[in-house]
Amino acid sequence: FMKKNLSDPYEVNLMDELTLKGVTQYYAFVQERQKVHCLNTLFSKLQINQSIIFCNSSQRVELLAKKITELGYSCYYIHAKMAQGHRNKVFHDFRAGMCRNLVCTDLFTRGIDIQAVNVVINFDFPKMAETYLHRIGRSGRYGHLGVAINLITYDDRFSLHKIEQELGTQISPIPRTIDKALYVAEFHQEPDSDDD
Amino acid sequence: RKPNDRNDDCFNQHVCDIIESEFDFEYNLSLFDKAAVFEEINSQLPNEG
Repeated sequence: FMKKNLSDPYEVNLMDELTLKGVTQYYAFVQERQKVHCLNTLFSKLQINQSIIFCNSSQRVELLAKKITELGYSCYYIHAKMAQGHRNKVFHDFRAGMCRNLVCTDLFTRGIDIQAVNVVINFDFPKMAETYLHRIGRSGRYGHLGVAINLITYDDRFSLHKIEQELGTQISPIPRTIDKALYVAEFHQEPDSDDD
Repeated sequence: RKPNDRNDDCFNQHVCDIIESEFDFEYNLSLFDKAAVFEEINSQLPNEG
């Protein structure tokens, strides 16, 4: 099809433009009913500048956003079933820093390009490597430090295995304490190139 | 399992129960031997040799 219809095509692989470099990836093992508890503890322990929390369905986005609000954290939410205009407004306001947390489904087709987001949480683990990369990956321009935390249930074991294999990446068990240098800008030490 | 059962599991707890204690990451990680589970998955994959 390509050969017949395109003359001298310029092939672009968007997967190549997204990188997991600079993003430290962890998983926490949970049961479905422990996820909200786990998330609440993460909120209290992590130094979040801005966070994005991904769910696998629009309904779960709404349920989770409601729960997060009950827990006393502010959050915005967007999902595919909302009108585009409304979505754009919410995303614009989030980008402008008007709210710390955003709960959403897979709306980002080219990775997250918001500098202020230093924590991404997969409340629901995706099934496809491409989805994972779009959620966690950064485009080259903004490839910078951040931490991704995946809530993994026993049912997610095959997806976890597949995604690690396909992306050639490693998702490690979450340590007792997460080094702030990995995701908090003020704590990040650039390697010294000159000695003085 | 139906998605609704899963949502009930996930979202139907009292907020007070959640706030009062810390989630025990270490204990829960000990319930999942990633290396062993992956080995089992690998052994079930068709060999592409």
